Amino acid sequence: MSRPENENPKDRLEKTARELRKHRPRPSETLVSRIERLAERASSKRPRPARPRLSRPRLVLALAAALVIAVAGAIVHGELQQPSKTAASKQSILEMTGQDMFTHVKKGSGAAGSKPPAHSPVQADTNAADQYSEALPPPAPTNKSAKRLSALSSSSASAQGAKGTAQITSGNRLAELRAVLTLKVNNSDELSRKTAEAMKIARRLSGYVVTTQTNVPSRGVATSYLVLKVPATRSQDALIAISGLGKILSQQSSLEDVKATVTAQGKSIQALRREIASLEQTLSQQTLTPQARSQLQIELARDRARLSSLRTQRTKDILRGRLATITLTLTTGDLPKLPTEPSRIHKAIDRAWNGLSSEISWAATGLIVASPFLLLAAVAALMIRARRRREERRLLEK
Amino acid sequence: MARDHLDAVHAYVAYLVGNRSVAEDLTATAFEKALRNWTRFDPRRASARTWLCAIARSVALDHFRAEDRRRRREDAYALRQEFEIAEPGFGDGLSPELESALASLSAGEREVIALRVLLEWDAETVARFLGISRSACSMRLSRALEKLSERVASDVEA
Repeated sequence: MSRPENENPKDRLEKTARELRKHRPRPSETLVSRIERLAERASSKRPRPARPRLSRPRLVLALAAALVIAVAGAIVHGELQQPSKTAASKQSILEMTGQDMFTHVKKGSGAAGSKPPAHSPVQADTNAADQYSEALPPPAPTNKSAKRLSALSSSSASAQGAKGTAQITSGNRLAELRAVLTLKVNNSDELSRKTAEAMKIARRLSGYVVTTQTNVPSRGVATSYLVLKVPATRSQDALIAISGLGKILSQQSSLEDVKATVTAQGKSIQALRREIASLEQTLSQQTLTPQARSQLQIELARDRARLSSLRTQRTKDILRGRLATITLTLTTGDLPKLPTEPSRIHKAIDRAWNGLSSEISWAATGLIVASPFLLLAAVAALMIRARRRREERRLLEK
Repeated sequence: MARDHLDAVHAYVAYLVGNRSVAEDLTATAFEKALRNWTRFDPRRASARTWLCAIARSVALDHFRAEDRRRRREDAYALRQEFEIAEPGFGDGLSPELESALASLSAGEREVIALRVLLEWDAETVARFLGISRSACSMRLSRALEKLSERVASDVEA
């Protein structure tokens, strides 16, 4: 191979390339036939189904499917939690009308005290709770107080805004009544006056003040928050009287029957008493073996404990039914916009969103937990790759 | 498919290893591997020829690794024998100067010549295939050809 002296380097390279292409290595006949045999054998075999590859459209499809599954899971999760959530939301709506509107509420620290007065009939009710029976009608107010209340009711009914007061009554049944009222008054002075008046009304009706909190800032809206307990039999009078203290901005009332619970508890108490009497009678016999005696004594102790617990619970339930709770908020401003009852679709969306949020939080937690390991795996993969590249370079440099 | 690309793959492997008989063996191995796994081939990702060459490259690298280990073992026991190229590895009819110049190049340099000159792949494909940038690929080719040309010239002069 001879080369002229003054050949252009570019031409020389081109010539070399041409020569290389012209004399490129050709596979031998043996190799050709070997590959042909291999190809025939491969084509005679039934091809395996190709493994699905994660191409871009497939990735998008997979992500969409994962999203749909996540949303469906969230909806199912939300639907499963629906009853408890609905109850909770009802409770919260009830509570938001009063308690949650004002943040500076302190329980039991009111000036009026948090305990029922000693002379309160509530105390007597508590003591007499165990003797409560279905046949016993709730105590009626005395003639004197009835006249006074009737006068109060008629005057309150004529007062501003009193027309809209809910007429919730439990009749003769033992029921827990809760009322939440928000009233508007003209100014701070009136607010203080009306607050004191509301407390007086509660006491006049043989009730007491559980909580009171007054907030009168130098500027802005003044508020007064009260939780009053009045005997259930006088709750209507109390509501009428209290609603006459200002313009009604909002009111919520609920009545929960506790008579069935108390009756069931009474039956259980009677059955337990009978059983205790029977056990005591058996234990008085002298023929019992020490082992049997000890067994019966254990049973007797257990029954007595159950009886005591049931009595306490029953007392509480009766008290609940005999005292109405009135939550009163007096304000000089307008009622803050309360959340309206969400529609079915909104509820479903809310539940789905809650479910999705919990799924996302779980996924995020998983990711946070796994991230150090993922990071380590990524670093290891990168190191392995770099090492392989270095090795390949070294091998190809030879 | 196999017959269509055999020529190109064989030429590439021959340049990479610089030995005809080894190239034939490695090409056969590469095809065997490719035909066994042909369901994995995705034409959207690369052409069949690129796929086959990638398999051939992996097979050749395995061969280099094995050779490397063998050499190190033999060095340890002082048994090393210089491996002589028994038959021309880069094609029939090449001038002895070009043949010897090619043999003096590294496998990496011969590889880029094979891909760009013999197989006439564009710079982009070669760069992607080798896992390097396009400019690095062009530089590697130009240096390889320069070296080849210089060595041919020096051989001629000698």
